[in-house]
Amino acid sequence: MKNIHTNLYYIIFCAILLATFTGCQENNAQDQTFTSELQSVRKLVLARMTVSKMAAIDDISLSEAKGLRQTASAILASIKPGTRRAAYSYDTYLRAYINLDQLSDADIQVSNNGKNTDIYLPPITIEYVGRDIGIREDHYRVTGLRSEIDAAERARLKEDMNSVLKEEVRHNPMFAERLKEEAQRKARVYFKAWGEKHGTDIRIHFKN
Amino acid sequence: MLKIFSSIKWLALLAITVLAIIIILTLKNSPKAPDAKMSRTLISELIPVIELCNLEIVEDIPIKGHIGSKHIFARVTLNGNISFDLDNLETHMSCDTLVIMLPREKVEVKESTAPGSYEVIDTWNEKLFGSDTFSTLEENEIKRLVAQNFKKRIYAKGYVKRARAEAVESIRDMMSYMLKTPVKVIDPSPSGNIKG
Repeated sequence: MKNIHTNLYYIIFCAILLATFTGCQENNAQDQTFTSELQSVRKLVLARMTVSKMAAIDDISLSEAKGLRQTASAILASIKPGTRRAAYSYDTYLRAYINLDQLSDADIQVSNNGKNTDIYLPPITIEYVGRDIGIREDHYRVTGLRSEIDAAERARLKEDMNSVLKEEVRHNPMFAERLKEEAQRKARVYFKAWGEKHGTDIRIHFKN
Repeated sequence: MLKIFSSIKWLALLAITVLAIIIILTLKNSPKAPDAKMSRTLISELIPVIELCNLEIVEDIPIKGHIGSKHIFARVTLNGNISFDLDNLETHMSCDTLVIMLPREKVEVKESTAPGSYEVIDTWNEKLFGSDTFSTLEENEIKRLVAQNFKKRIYAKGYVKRARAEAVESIRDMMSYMLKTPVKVIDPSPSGNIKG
């Protein structure tokens, strides 16, 4: 019987240890390393786009809940007295540019009389410049015994909004197309104006 | 009889422990409750520009701030960009050379969109029963100051000076290349202007 007790102690100890390490794994993944990077580039930015994203925090109803965690969350929310609603938004910035390092001699062709110039510009690239440093609080109503929305929850929300926004931009070609169209139009107008000042007709072409 | 009772007690304890672990693991692996409803991403502005961007800085910055007795420790990844607006360049001809004045630099600081760019590590209150919850306004103010210091450091470390020197070459090369005419770029303020 003493052996059974020893084994039980051992099993419980192992179980607690397992639970402890399962919890630790998540913390280790968030390794805190502070880095710094500096890079010289030659980007000719031709268009900028600002996109906005909004998210509302609200309780999930029991009928909407899926899985154990959501059901537990919905039950808890319905038990606690009060309301917990808020809406947050922020802007994300994209830009369209050409890399000037990709320009070569062969990309600029001047006619024999020097009156016409054809410039073959590198393909337009689109990238994220970044997003707002802060977050806009469009609505906030936390009453009764409901917990306040804290900085950590807002940070997680911003992270989720960022992932969803990037997915939308990736899957909807409209964002990239509009940015590219605007960039191409600007490049044509800008260089044509410079050409006119210097007595040459500049025609802009974009490589694919 | 006592021994049997003791065994049952231990078995019950084991069953409770196993059940607790199963519940914890199930909760951990089940999808996160979608307590946020997201709206569609909207384009709020689309503007044509002509800017030469020639220096990019990415930095991971620890945030340590406090409002009264409330403290926050967080980490943010900031993107810094130094660019020059080429749309309204000040120019004149000197003999056959096109002379261009290098415009004022534009130092832009944004939060990175890379995953995990902002993370709140800890918040606490010095007072025993004080709240450690930061309002959006308080958090934004702390982050605004961090971004402002980052911008000051960009100047202090000489990044703007370097960007301006490189911009002189880039603009000269690009313009002389495209217009097939000699170009000279003059920098009236090689260290830049932080107030701009």
